[in-house]
Amino acid sequence: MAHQSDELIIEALNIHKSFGDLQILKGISLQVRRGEVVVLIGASGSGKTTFIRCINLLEEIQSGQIRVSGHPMGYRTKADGSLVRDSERNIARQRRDIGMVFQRFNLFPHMTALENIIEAPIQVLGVPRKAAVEQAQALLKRVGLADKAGHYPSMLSGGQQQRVAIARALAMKPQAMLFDEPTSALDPETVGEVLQVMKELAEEGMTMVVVTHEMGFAREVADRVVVLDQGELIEQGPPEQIFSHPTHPRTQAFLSRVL
Amino acid sequence: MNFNWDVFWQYLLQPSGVYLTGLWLTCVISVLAMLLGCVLGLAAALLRLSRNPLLHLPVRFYVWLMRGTPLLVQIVFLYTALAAGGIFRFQDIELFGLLIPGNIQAAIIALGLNEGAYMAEIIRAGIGAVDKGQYEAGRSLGMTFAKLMRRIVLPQAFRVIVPPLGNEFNVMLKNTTLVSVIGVQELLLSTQMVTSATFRVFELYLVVAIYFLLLTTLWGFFQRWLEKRFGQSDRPSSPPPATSRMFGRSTLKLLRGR
Ligand SMILES: Nc1ncnc2c1ncn2[C@@H]1O[C@H](COP(=O)(O)OP(=O)(O)OP(=O)(O)O)[C@@H](O)[C@H]1O
Ligand SMILES: [Mg+2]
Repeated sequence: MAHQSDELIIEALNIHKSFGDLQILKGISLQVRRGEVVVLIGASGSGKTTFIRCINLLEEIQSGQIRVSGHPMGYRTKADGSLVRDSERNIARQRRDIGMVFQRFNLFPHMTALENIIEAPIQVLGVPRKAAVEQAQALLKRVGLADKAGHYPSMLSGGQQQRVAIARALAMKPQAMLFDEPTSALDPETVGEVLQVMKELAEEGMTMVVVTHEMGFAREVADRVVVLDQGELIEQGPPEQIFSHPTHPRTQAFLSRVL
Repeated sequence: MNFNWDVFWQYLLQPSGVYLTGLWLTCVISVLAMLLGCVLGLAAALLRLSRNPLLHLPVRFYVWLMRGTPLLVQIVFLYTALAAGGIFRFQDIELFGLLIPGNIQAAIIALGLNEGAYMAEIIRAGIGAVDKGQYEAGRSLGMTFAKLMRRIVLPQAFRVIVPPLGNEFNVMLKNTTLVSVIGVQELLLSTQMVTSATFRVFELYLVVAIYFLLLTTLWGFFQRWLEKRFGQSDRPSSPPPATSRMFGRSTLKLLRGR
């Protein structure tokens, strides 16, 4: 998109991740520039969720490095070259720079939409309540839910909950946003409203990494489509290239199944 | 039948000072021990979440010890046995101009320690009932563990904790009778003292039973209000209301069989 610059926001270098003996990510590297929208696709179990959770340090990695705006995330390298996890406080601080939107929304059920949004700015960033509320109201308006500020999540539809979740992540003014299948838990009729919000976000220049099965969204909004297969990044490129002329046979096989 | 209605009505409706002090002590000890139990239980539950064995093993030991020995033994051990062994003797202390006898301190601490073990399990279950997604949402917003617990997890766990907590207090009210063995003049010991002077055993024990029934029933109503106020949730399966438990119609597993 028009807003892209050469500044690297997210750098994942040779990420290895296993659950026990099972190797899930086998050395994935990905660089995302400011304003870029990267869509991750791949078969179920290929490691898409695991990969973006690693970026946000929700999963521990065995080797590799993640940098956000040039700062290494979550790990310190010991003298012998091995990685040790950074202190909890530092990790929490680093996570502020990355917003995350989950498949199952994960709104705080004991708080209203507005309270969900102001919670972290007040508690984590120390924003004064009044300013946080003003910002939250503006964000709710932006996602088309200005009239739902006082509603609890249980009173909102899936699509509305997911839009509140997006607003909640945006309230931290993150450098980048990660989306893990944000529409796959939604009723078909509410998928569009969430994708619309994401599209607007992309147009405003937000750096985004999106895992999705919505190939229409990928085609229309992505700057780059990245294909994961069995824990490896097998192919990447502009959407028209990936969708029209995939080179890797497993990309071709995957696309022929989903398109 | 040897039953004197006059004595019965007199003690039921116009309790003597001894009785009122006993009632007062029962309530104060229950409340303070419960508070202590909640604080200990919360600390223990949080420590048990830790992956560090130095933190969670002592807690498991504590819970094991408290649940594996009779409360009556714990009370006597803390007050009498420790003093006899020359290890620790509770002294009367003056607090805010009020003299607090050693045995009352021991009573509160013993009951609180015991309660802490049960509360630890209850709070742990409450924390466990909170969806893992809530932790991830909180973490991804940059919250530290403490913030996450205080703002996100515990408020949600609280809704699950309130009903069993109410039951614990019901048990606590009744368990205060046990501290009569270390000479705390709560309701039971007060009754014993009055009976030894009047010899109206049947009447007076009936009165004390009614007093406890009144206390636990009043608490039951309060508990119902508490659950309405805090237990309300958007969880589909909310626990049955307090009244149905008060009369034992359901959820045997919520009670701890005493
Ligand atoms: N906590 C875990 N413990 C063990 N294995 C896990 C765990 N989480 C994920 N896996 C495994 O890792 C692999 C990759 O999972 P992941 O969720 O990243 O795939 P995905 O590409 O997001 O799939 P989907 O499209 O179904 O969401 C799967 O084989 C999964 O079974
Ligand atoms: Mg997934």
